[in-house]
Amino acid sequence: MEEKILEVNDLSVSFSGGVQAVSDVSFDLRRGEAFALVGESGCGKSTTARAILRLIRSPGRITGGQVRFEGRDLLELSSKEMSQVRGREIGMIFQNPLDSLNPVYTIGGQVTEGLVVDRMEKREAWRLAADMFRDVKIPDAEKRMKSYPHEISGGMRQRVMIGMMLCRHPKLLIADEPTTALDVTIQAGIIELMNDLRRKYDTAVLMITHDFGIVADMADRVGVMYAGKLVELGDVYTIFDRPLHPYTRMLMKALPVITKKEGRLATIPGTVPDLSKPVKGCRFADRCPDACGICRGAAPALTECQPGHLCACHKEKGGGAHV
Amino acid sequence: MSETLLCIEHLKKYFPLKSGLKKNAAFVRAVDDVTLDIHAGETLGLVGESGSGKTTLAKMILGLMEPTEGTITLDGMDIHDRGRRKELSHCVGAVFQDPASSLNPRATVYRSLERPLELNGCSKGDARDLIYETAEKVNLGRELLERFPYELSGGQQQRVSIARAILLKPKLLVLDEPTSALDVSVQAQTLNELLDLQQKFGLTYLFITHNLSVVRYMSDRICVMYGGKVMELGEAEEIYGHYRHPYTLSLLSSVPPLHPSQRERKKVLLTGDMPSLIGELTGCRFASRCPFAQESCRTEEPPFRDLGEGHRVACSLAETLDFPNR
Repeated sequence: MEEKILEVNDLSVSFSGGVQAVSDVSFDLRRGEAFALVGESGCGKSTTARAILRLIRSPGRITGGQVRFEGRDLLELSSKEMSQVRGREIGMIFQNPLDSLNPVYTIGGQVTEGLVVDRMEKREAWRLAADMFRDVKIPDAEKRMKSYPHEISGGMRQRVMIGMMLCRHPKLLIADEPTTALDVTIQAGIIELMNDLRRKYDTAVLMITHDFGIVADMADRVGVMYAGKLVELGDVYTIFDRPLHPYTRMLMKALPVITKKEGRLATIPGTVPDLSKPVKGCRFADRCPDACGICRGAAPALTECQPGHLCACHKEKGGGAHV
Repeated sequence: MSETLLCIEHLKKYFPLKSGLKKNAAFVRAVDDVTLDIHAGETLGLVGESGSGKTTLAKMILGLMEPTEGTITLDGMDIHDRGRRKELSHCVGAVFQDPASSLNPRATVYRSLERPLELNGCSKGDARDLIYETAEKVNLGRELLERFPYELSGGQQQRVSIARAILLKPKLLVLDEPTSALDVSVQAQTLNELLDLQQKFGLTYLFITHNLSVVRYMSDRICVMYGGKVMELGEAEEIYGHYRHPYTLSLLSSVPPLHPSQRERKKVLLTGDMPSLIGELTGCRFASRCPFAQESCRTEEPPFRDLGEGHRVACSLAETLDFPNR
């Protein structure tokens, strides 16, 4: 087994009004691995990513759990120590690069800033950043570094963010919907780039997405979230070929992969439960076609059904009792 | 072939750029010479990257924007004929991307639905009947009608938008990215409902999206736009199976795979950005990013040719290029 660099154990996050945005989420990342957290809006995937970096703002609060990164619990660090971790050891990319870049400084200045903080000489930092720009395939790297964020396109900005993050060789890169705002043609380029660079720098990637296509294109392992809970976790091929949790199976069937002549898409009836009230039993029970008494009585734990394949469903204990 | 409902001929929209004191020094050619038919009862999918002119085209069809040149006729009537505005206003309905911002936050759902009827001289009683009837068509519970938009989920809000769009029984419904803001499960539900409505009431859809899987599911024919021009047009399965334009090839190969086993598929990635649409443009719009471009592509504009059976393409090399067909 490869070495684990990140272990998230029973992480819980609450917002005001007692909204349990994330409850008892546990997963781990191995060195150089790409792990995708996938789910619909409001399922807590972004909150989980932010909690790992301790970027949850008040009134949100991490109410429990551990985030062990290379042996240290990030939740125990002082805020000064934590800011050493962010950017240097764990990089992050968000959906809208324009929110992450400072509009009044040149791109080059912003990319080298982190390196200068790491006590690198300015000229050396500039040279390294230019190399990195070529790595992320930005044409005219030297010239582009003198541009301001508004002067380049959305796809280029996201490349700048990736370059900026990889400059400091983090061991883990957290990418929260990095291509959602981009066109498919640009998205394909960014994904290919992230796949190449991940191998080149041996960086683990935690990818947050709602798009199963991106999961299929990038991830080694997948965690499916629903209403603040991790409901299924496994190898990407397993999740696509043999999903166990009813939610994952229904979600897969709702993807528009057919034509209208071939039939209608499957839908998931009902809505996500209100997380401001305590939910008794399984959170998916109200929408699940197979739900029975036990599902409404007790919350199912995430248990290993097959080696490496975990599922939180009462009906799946002992490895797939029902069809 | 079914009859033509909407006929777009040589449609152009140029936006003037103001630079200092000189007005109208240059133009952005957002939509440039588009000729297109929409048949009654079909779904025409319109795809293209941002900036390809999809939404500008939609706005002109909705009569929200005057074309610079060219005509749009619906059932023989010119959409931009001011004298017939009222008559035309209920021939075309629209559903936009973000349902929350297209509904009045201070009006109840019922009020939002009543307003267009009121403006069209419908009595209160008739309006009520029609609203209840329409709400039923889109599976919108009656109890939701007295709520405000913020009390509804995204999918319910989008159903209200659809209900409003079909209230006046339009001939054509323009759907501009109607499911882009929705989650997969809600998207599936909305798409199914749209198909059911179409089947039951014989609606015609112009479905604009950048999601190529959604467009394949929904459309009878697909129109691919790039840089303000139509690149390829044809039956949906023909476009997916036997596309002839290099842009369609790169667009389709950029779609994320359906299964991890397709990860190593061959992608035709586009380099560079979409060209500027300002000023005089010569040659094929796609030439600067086309992997197959030849010298002649940069100088001569390719004609929009018919390759048979309604499959039309704007590429002078279409016959000679050999693509791996999927």
